[in-house]
Amino acid sequence: MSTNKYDRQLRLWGAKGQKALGETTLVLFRATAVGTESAKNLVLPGIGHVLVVDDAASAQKEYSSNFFLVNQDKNRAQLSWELLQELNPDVQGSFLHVAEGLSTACAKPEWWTNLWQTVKTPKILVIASDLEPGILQMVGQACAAKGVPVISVQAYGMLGICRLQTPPLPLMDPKPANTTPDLRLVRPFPGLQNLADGILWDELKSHEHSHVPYPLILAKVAKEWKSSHGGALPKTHAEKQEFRDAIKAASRDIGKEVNFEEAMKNAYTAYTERSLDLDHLASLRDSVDGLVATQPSLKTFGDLLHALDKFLKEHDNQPPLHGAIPDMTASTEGYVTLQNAYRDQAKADLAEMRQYLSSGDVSEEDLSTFCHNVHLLELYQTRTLVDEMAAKVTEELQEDWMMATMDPYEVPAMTPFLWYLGFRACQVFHQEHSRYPGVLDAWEEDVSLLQECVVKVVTSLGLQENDLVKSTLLAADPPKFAQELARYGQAEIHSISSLIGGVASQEAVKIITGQYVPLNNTYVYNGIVSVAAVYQC
Amino acid sequence: MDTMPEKKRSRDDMIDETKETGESMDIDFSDGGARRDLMTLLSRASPFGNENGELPIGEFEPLSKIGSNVVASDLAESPLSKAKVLVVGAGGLGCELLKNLALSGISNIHVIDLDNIDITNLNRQFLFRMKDVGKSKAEVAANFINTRCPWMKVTPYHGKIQDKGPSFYASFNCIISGLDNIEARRWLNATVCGLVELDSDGDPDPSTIIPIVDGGTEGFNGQARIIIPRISSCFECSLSAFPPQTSFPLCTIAETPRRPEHCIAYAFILQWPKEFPDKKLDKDSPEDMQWVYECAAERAKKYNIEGVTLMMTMGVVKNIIPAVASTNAIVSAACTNEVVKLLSFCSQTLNSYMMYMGTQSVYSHTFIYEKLEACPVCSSQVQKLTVSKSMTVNGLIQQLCSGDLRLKAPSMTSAGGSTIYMQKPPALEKATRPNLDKPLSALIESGEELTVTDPVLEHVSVTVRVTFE
Ligand SMILES: [Zn+2]
Repeated sequence: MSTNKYDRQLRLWGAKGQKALGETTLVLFRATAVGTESAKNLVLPGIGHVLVVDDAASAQKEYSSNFFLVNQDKNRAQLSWELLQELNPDVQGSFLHVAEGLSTACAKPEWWTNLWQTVKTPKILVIASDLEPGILQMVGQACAAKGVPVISVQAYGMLGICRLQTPPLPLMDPKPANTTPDLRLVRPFPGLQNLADGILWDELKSHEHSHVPYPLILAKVAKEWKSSHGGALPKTHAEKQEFRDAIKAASRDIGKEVNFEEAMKNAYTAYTERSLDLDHLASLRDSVDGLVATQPSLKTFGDLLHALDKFLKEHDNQPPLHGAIPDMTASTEGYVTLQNAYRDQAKADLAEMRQYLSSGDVSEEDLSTFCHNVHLLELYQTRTLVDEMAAKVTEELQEDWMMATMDPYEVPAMTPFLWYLGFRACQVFHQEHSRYPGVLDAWEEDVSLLQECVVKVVTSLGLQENDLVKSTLLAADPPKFAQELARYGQAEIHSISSLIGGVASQEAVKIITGQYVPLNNTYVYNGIVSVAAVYQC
Repeated sequence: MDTMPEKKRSRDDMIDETKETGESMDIDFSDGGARRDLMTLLSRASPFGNENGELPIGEFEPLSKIGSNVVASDLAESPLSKAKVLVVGAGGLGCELLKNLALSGISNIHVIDLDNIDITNLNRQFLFRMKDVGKSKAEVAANFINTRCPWMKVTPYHGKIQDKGPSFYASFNCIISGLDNIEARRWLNATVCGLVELDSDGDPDPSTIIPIVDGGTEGFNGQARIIIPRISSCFECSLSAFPPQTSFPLCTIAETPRRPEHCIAYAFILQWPKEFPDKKLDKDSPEDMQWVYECAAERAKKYNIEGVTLMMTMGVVKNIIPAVASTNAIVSAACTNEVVKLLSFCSQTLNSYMMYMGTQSVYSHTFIYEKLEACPVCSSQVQKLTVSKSMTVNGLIQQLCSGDLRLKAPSMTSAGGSTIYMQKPPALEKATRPNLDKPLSALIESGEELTVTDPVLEHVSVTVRVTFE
């Protein structure tokens, strides 16, 4: 019986993902609501350790918007950890009250050395909550140097932002929603061809005939086709039509034989091969080779990529077989036999791949996960927070932004990218005035100052001539964006904090487990109308 | 408030204290503490007030009383604290919703849930602890929130949503649903849409419209939407987007199993009733599930099918949908954000559906879910049906169940007032049963309208005009 309290999540990321989670320490910088919400969603599923690092001496004024604070006279690091701990007895943790303030502490290399030393688990993930731009830059730099992923989360009035900065991560288990089975019908492996050859249409009873699995029907028809077409498969539209007619002709009654109907529907798999993007693989290998010296965690991925290269050379660019087949009309025996043929070939391919590996350290699970996803392999890399805040602009980025502004939300002013720029302007305001806009009573006085920051940000990113930006953010009479952002006064709205905490924890799980595909690199939630998007920033 | 622990202060105490300490406490910007909160937004004018949005509900008027030091207790003065909100479901979404409402100053809440706490809830339903397993979700959740957030008054109801009548639902300003099944969502939607009164022109009376904010999750994906009955699309308008669960063909299960799932289906659909004709399978009983698993494993072994596990058996039999804390947080927060805006008008309304898909990067999509022109629940349109002259009443019932309307147990009377078939009470069922085998054409004229009622849309009736071919 499922006495496992993690049952509902194990169905997503499995025992392997759960183990990775248990081997990770979450270091939470500041227990503001967006931070504690992020932490909550990682404590619940059983992250190994939590370390809350905070410099707020008191949290008494904040318990109205933060569920992990109550009205007690303790520092925020301690109070929030005590309440988070109640969520899951499996999770260990501690807190660190930084009396000197984060802006002082984060500037000292030895403070960071000490911090990293207190972490005992193999993996670390940092969540940085509502950090001011100066501190955020220091945290980003320290994490990049240590090779630790950091997720910066901000709840800013009706805006929410979740920004990822990670060391390069191999993506070899993306778990796409839809997968196309690899049936290998264009170039059948011997085990498959033997099964197909063993079928003699005329000797089958009608029940058997209507239960021949469709891949075998296709393999048979394709073989006959090739022998009558000089070894070639159908190419033109007319030939493909003819091929389908040949399938139909092989059926005794196409209206009644569902397996032949399935063969018709999947006819293209007999003459269309899913080709591997070899250039992509070559560039992946180059990137990983270049990085592995400084990023030892990429060693396995690099080894696997080189093994795959050898395998492809041996097999005329056919990758290792996946081995799984979909359900289809078939007798039990026919299906199981077919499935075993695919599985046996997949096992043989895996064993061959193993021979090409230079290291014996690669686990069987990693090897098979890699082989199952040869078409989807990626190296995930993010821009650094420091580059973002220095407004370093690349051509690639500008192209991305151009796309983002050419495809605005139905109400153009609500396009999340514009609000990202607005938030950046608030950060620039903070750098200039040592406070966020609108935090004082006379909030309206900040509007024109903030609008100056908006212009600065837009100009520094080369977006001043962009039509959408011009007609919205830069429209000065009245400067609606600056008015709205000054109105926020960096207010902590719980629903925004909670939403971003959800996004951040989902991304954290992806990074920690190496499963699915993390967003790259900034999720912007416009809570005014609930529109969100992901941008490279 | 008597039941609150002494160390925690009630909301009223907090208000008094802030009044005494005066208005201009310094905000300390140096340590990341003391943040402004929702009250700031409620007290400052916005160029993006609700009235300027695409789905305007009301005009935003900033509260004026606010001085420099905004604290939570001031939320007591906001329209949010005067609202009465219903949370339907105290599970993965419900726990999040209750917390979010508490921290948004929405203090008068009712929560309704039928379920008891199960150990597999604990990875996300964070108001529950191991010691609470077996207790009522609604009661434990309400108690937790009332204790942690002393300004809250959460009233639990441990029972089915169908236990409550329309007048109960009519007493709320807004309803949030965090339900995990289609049938309950249809019932709630129909009941709330049914509350809307129309004037002689067919226009809805705004005071009878109660917005529903509906959320749902599955694994890393989820959605949040707004239903303003008769104004925006309703749940029934989008029913086709939630296809009924498909099951394996019986002949596959019985004769040609190929996948482990087929063996499990064989065990619980075919073998259990054979083995225990007088006992319904209890999906929550470890013994019963163990039996199904062993039966499935045995069949799999016989056919050389690999992969039957207890975990998979549970998944197939209970139709388990993976669930994680993060997705519940995202969807519940998006729902609460809409409730805050619907009640305070401090920002614009979601128009009208937001999708979140988190597996391959994040794909987020906000769009207008269009109304179904002939929605059986939120339009006043007649459903048109053309059937053969020989179709029996029973045949029509089958068609109403398997067709687009997806009814469960329809009863019907003709426009002329004669009863065609009634599912209950038993006496009426017995009296109308002989009609089941009669051709419909013997009972009504072509083009005549039938009034159809069904438990899944309990508080609305559907008008069906039947034309014979
Ligand atoms: Zn409708």
